[in-house]
Amino acid sequence: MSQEELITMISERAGISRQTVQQIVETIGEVWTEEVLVNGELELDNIGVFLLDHRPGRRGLDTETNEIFVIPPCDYVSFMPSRELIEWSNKIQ
Amino acid sequence: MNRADILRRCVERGVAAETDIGAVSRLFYVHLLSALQRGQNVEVPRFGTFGTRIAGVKKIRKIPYFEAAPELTEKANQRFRDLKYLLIGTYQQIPAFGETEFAGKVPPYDPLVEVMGKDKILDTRKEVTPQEYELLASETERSQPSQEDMAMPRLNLKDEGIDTESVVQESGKEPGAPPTLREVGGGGGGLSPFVIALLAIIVLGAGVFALNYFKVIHLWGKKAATVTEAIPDVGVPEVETPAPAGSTDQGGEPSTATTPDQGMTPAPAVAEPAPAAAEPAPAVTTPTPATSTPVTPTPAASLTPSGTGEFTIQVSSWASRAKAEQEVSRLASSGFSAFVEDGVVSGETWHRVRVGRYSTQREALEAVSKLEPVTESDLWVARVGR
Repeated sequence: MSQEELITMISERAGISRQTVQQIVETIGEVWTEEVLVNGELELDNIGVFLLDHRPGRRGLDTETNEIFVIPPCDYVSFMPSRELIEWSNKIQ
Repeated sequence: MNRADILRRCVERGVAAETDIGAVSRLFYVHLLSALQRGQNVEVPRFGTFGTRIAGVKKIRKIPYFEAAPELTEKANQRFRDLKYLLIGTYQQIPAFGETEFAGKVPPYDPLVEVMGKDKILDTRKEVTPQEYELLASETERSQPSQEDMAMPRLNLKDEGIDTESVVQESGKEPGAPPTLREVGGGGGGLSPFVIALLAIIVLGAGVFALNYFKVIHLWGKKAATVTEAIPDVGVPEVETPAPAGSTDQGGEPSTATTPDQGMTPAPAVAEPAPAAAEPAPAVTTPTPATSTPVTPTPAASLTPSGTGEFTIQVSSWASRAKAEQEVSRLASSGFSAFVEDGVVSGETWHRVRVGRYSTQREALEAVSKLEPVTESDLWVARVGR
């Protein structure tokens, strides 16, 4: 389900314009992003936990040129689904 | 964070009415869960994509996953964007003995940091500001750094959990001291004791081989062969004393000729002719019959073998037929049914003096005990015709 399809379905079900729905959905995403980046953790009920993990920089070796270079550190967002979400995903309709 | 918190923060932004935000938020959750249940992906703008993947072997399950959007990843790594990292060198700079030597060290452990000195090489786990990068890059471009270059700004490695003092103590050098030749892996510094010992062993072995080859010393080779050839020559003068003139006996068979018989008795074959020749019988030699065959027992006068057994007792072996018959006559005078049996060994005919025929080996061994007082030679049990 793409972003357009999601907005269209919500707009039809709620009877709200697509533009308003899109603004609300984007705002929800921004709130989640802000929460993850600021606190480093976002826990959504019945969905799971988002964690901001850090991968330290390390040394890499270019086997062709035999050069050692630095792989920069980075932060990445990991997701741990909750038990309810896993059970819901595997629930037979 | 529950839905109420999200709703409150969205309302604070003034995007839409609170009722609309609440309705959209509730429907958003519903569509997200229903799409995951159907196995579809749900894309949240500027945040990421939810989806499910199949996992498990015995019990297949759908596990939800989340893939962060590029915007989220970009924001998360924004603090690293302006930082630069230094190319720390090539692989040849690692010591020649390899990185396996560093196995077991407590991380974080960087061999280059220890080898080149912590003031010289940037720790790979450390971010560098653009100013530090420019300084370090200009530092590494110089082929031969001077003492002024050694006074680089120290990195705060303790923040990364690296104990600089312990590493310096392990390397046994001052923090500012330049690396030695061994530390940078640039040279060997002479032969190792193991190589020297190996070369000494090789030279010593070659010397011993050369001395043995030129027969200065006899450790192996022809020394054993000369002994075996000398044994038959010893018995010749003892045998020739009582023998008639013109006899050409050899005094005994070579050791190779008696190898089949050695399995019967432990006595060596080369020892048999000496005692036999020590007590020569009176010269009652009889001429060799012309009809004698080399394999079948040859009856000599009244000394035909008695019985039809397979085993017999070998007393001695002679190259001269006359000597063998003389021995047969001596044994016959003592009451034993001796006979001469010819055998070909290495192209030469040997005349074996044997006594009796026995059906079993036990009987032959019992007869040996009776024959031993008469002859002083070593007796052993042999098979007829062998």
